[in-house]
Amino acid sequence: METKIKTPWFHIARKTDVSLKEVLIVKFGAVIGAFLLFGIITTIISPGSFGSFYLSFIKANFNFVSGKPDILYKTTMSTLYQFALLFFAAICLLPSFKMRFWNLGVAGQVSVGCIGAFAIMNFLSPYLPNPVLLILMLVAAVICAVVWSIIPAIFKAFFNTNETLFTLMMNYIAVAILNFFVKKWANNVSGGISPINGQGTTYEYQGWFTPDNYVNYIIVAAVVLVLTILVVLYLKKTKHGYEISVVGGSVNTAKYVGINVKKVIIRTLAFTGILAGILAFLVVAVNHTLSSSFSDSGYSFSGVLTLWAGGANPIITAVYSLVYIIARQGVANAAGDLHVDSALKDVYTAILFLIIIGTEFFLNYKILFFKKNKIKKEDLKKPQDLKEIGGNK
Amino acid sequence: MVEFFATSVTLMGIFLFGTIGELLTQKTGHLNLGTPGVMCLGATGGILALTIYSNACGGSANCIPFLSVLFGVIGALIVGALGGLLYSFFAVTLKANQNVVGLCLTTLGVGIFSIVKFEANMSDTLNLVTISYNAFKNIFPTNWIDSTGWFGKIFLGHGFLTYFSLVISIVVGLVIRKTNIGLSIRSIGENPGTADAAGINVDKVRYGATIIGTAISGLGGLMYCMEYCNGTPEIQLEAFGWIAVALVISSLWISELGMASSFVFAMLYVAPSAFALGGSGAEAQIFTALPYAITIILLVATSIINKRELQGPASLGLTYFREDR
Repeated sequence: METKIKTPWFHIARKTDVSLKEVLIVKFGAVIGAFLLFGIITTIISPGSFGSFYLSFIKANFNFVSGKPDILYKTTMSTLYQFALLFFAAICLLPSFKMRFWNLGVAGQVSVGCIGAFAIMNFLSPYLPNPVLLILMLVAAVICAVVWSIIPAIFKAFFNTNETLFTLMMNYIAVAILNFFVKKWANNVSGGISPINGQGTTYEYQGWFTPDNYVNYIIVAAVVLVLTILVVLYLKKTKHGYEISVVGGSVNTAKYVGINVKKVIIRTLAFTGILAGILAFLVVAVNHTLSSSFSDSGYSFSGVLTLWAGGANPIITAVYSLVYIIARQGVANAAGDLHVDSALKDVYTAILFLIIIGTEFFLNYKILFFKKNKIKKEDLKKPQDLKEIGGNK
Repeated sequence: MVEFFATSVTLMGIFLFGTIGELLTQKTGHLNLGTPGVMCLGATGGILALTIYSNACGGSANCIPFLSVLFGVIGALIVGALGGLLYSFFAVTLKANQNVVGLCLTTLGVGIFSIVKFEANMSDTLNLVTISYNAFKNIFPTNWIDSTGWFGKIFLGHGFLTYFSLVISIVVGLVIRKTNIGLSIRSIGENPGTADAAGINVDKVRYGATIIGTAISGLGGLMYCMEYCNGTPEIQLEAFGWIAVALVISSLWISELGMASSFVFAMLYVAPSAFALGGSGAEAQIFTALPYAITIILLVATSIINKRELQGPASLGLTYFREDR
């Protein structure tokens, strides 16, 4: 008598070693595939727009097609600035990420830092020289952001409170407080530069790096580069960095070797807070206003996505951040030509990330197909034959 | 005052759909941060279905209100479920990180909804939404509502989705606690490895619960368009989605408690504008943080008390891969 034994078609196993070539093919393939898919979707929405769609990426990011050097300069610098903000948002997350602490609250930490920096700018501009003012803004931003980032860390350390949800909720409280101050200070213009005041006065450029914003963009990018190197050195070369990686690997191991896990969690989030504070300071010193623009830009979540997709490697994260910014700005530009809402950029960047994250599967797992066997029931009586039912062929 | 409570009840329905959907998903250990996106997808599905129906009838004036509501619900369920399918495909089959997939889904859903809303604002669909809204805004007879005074105005003067949300939350609660499927869902949420060893198909149950959960959440988006905005949707819906995620924690993963906490959160949300709290507007901003602050307090309180009954599923947020055991 012949019976069919139900065997699965395939089985999934973890890959142990992946060659660099394979990594590059999958990662770059995903990005190129995503961009091709965008073109195809766009052509379906609006036939004949395939070429102009890709042209809009150049126009929005590095506009050399206009033939005017100043337009190329301006678009490139804006792209650089947006890239620096997003990339640094991801770098802010790097220490907590290495510790397996899901910090989804960079938007909140930056928002609170912005309040601190702007308060100094708003009320002390007429009284202090610009360098002192800038330093005070930085200090205020860092203090505010650190306070905001260690609150969830303390509860995580002592009570193991779920940090994903805690930091997420802290974002909305921070934005509410920020909006409170935006309304409060916008009504009170006597103190100094406010979101609606300051132009044409003697302290117009107080709290700015330079009066030329395109130069400010370069300053931001340079600061981000230096800080990124420092963060990587901190994580790789210091005892603190080592402790972070042990806690991230296994809390029990960390306890066993005598690491004070509570201290490491709080200290690492304080460090994240310092970075978020610096980011907040950069945002205020370049935008010169207090607004929820950073939180609205979604760079907090996009930072999580780029860092995750980049596997916490700063270089791959930088590449993904740049790809993300190019896609976002390009699609926003194209959406205008297509007469579609600019939210198209969110749809396309979400698809981009889904493709990148989905293809990670092929780096981490391999699919093994089973050979289909038909086995006679009588044969099953001998236990040693059970081995032949399925095997990795 | 009566109007305040009545608006709160409507808003409660929206929160409740989102919460119950997310709760069912979280019970299997899926921390779906895509709920804001899923609710937006539900709203998108509703609008798309109404657009198709309106075009088929040759204009909103020729449509039958009952059918338009029915198609709206079906559209919201289908597109919401597609969101869940996408999430499950990435989080279960491709074993991607749940937080990352959830955030992508949120971005995707909010983006699609913005585009559809932008298109719908220029079309005939919104008229149809209004027509269906008007046809179904009171499922109880008007003379009942009038004769029962304040009670009727607060509790009886709503569309069927409000009452449906209450029914759904009771049904989901019963399924989770009283049925075999519920037992499978709960055991997977606590420890997928053990559930797998007991012969439960972890992937299948996670897929099923997530897809049904997101379909329910999608109804919240539809209700937002139909009953809360009466046809002029704003992007507020994303914030409602995050409140729904917060509400799951606040209701301690018990679906019947979701009704009470949704109502409380709805009142907190409506209160600043209803009573002009904060006057000029600056202080009113602080009140918008109240739901989130309360969620944090509950989150901290439950973790300090550290009783298993008060906390979420033990494997919440963890991807399950059989060979990692």
